Amino acid sequence: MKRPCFTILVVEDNPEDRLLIQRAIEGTGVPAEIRLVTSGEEAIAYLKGEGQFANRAQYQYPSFLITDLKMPHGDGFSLLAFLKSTPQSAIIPTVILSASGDLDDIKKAYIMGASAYFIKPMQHVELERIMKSLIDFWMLCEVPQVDEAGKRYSTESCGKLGERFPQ
Amino acid sequence: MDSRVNILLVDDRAENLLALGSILENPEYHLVKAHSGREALRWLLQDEEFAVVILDIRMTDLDGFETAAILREREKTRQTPIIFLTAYSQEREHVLRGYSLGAVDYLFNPPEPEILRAKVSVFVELFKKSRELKRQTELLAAAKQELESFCYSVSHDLRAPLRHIDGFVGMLRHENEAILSDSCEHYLDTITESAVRMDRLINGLLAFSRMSRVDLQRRPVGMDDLVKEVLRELARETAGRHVTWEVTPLPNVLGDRSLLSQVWSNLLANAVKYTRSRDPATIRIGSRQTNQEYEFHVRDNGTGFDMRYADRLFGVFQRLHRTEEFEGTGIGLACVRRIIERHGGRTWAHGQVNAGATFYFTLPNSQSESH
Repeated sequence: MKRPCFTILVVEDNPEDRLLIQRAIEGTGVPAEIRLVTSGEEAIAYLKGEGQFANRAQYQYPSFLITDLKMPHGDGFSLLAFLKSTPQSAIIPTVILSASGDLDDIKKAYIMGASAYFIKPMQHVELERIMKSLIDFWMLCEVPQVDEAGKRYSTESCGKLGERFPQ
Repeated sequence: MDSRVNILLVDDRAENLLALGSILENPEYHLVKAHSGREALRWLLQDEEFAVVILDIRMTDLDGFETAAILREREKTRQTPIIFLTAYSQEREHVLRGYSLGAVDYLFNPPEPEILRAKVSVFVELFKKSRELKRQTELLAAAKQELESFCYSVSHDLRAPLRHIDGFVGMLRHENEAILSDSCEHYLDTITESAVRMDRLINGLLAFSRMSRVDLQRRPVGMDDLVKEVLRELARETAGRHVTWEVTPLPNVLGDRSLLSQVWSNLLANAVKYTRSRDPATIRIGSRQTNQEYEFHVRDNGTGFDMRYADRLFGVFQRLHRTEEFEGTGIGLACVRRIIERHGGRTWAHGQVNAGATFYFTLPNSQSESH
C-alpha cells in the first residue's frame, strides 16, 4: 500500500549539510515530513521509539531514510547493520548520501542493504534534483504496510507465491 | 632490536659444535647450537630467522638429510640455506643427495676454518640484504597506505566546506531574489564559481595522486582501438566544429589500458580545446618505432605555445593560458607525464605561438621490455 503520509528521516552529523538537505527536500515541493537526527545511534533510537522518540505523533515512523556514512556516534554502516538485523526496519528504503566516492564504501553500502547510493554533489541544484527523483520514485513504489510504530501487519502467507520463503 | 644474525650449528657431537663455534666466533653473529636434528627443528620453528644452517649429515636419531627434508616441507624454513658437513669418504653420494634436498653448499668435516668463515659470510650478507629489502618493502607499503587514507580524508572533509559555500550562496540568492543588486549577483556568482573551481582542483589533485598509487596492469594494448574509443568520447566536444582528424595506423604496446586511455584522452582533449579558434582544426596522430621504443605524437594547428615554457607544461597546476581563454585545471599534462614515466617512457612537446603544438610520448618496445 502506498503511504498516506510521507516521513523522511535524515541522518547527518554536519549541521550545514543537515540544513542543505532539508532545504533541498522542501525545494521539491513534495508534502513530506522531515525529521533530522545527528548520528547512527540517534537514528536507531528513533526507529526503536526510545526516549523522546516514543511519541509517534511527533516522530512518525519514517517512510524512508537518508543517511550520511561518516559520523561520530554510530556511522552509516552501523545503521545499515542495525536495519538488516531488524526485519521490521529492513523494509525501509535506505539511501546513502555521502561525500565518499570510494569504491569500497559504495560496494559495502549495497552489500549491507542500502537501496541507493549518492555522492553529495558539489552543487546544491544537483542535490535538489537527486531529492526530487528519490522522493518521486519512492512515492510510486509499493511498500509493506506498517502500523504507526513501524510494525508490519501480520499476514497469512498460506497459498501465496512467497510461501516458500517464510519471514 | 638485536641486529645480530642468527646462525644454527647442528652436530650431535659436542666437541664438533665447540669447534664450529670457535671458528665462527664473530660479534655480528648469534650462534645457536643444536645437539640433534630434533633440537634444530625446534629452533627453526620458533620466530627467530636463521641466515644459514650448518648441518652435519651423520647424526644418530634424525640425520642431516632427514632434518633437511623436514625443513624443506615447511613454508617458514623452505628458503633457509643449508650447508651440509660431509665426510671425505662419502663425498659424491652425499653431495648428490644433499643437492637434491635443496642444500646450497657442502663442506668436508672437519671444515677448513677459512673456507667455512668465507661461505658463512656470503649467506650472512645475503640474509642482511634480504632483511633490509623486507624492511623497506614494509615501510613502502605503510607509506602507501597512509597516502591512501590521507586522500580518503581529503576527498571527504576538504570538499565539504565548498559544498556548503555553494549551498548557502544559493539559499542567500533564493531568499533575496527581489532585492539583490546586479553587483551583489555578480559577487555571489563569483563565490559560487570559485568554490566549484576549488572542488575541481581538489578532484584533479586526487586523480593525479591516484595515478601514482594504482598498480600498473601491463597487458597488450592496441593503440588504434584505444584512440578510436577516445575519439568517440570526444565527439560531443567537437560537435558543430570542423575538425579534421588524420590518424595513421598505430602499433600495439604493452601497458595499462585504462591509464594509457587517460593519456590519449588528455592529449586529444587538449588538441581539441586549443584549436577552438581554427576552421578547420587539423589534428594528426602518428607514431614511429625504434629498436628500444615506440614514439607517439599528437600534432595540432591550434594556439601553440612559447617554447620557453615547454617544460612548465607538464607541471602540476601549470597553465600557460588564463582560465577565461581556455578552461582547465592544469592537471591533465601532469597526469600524462606521470603515467608515461610509470611505464618507463618520456614526454615532451614542441610548439610555436599561433602555429600549433606537438606532444610526444614514448613507451618501451615490448620486445626489449624486461620488467
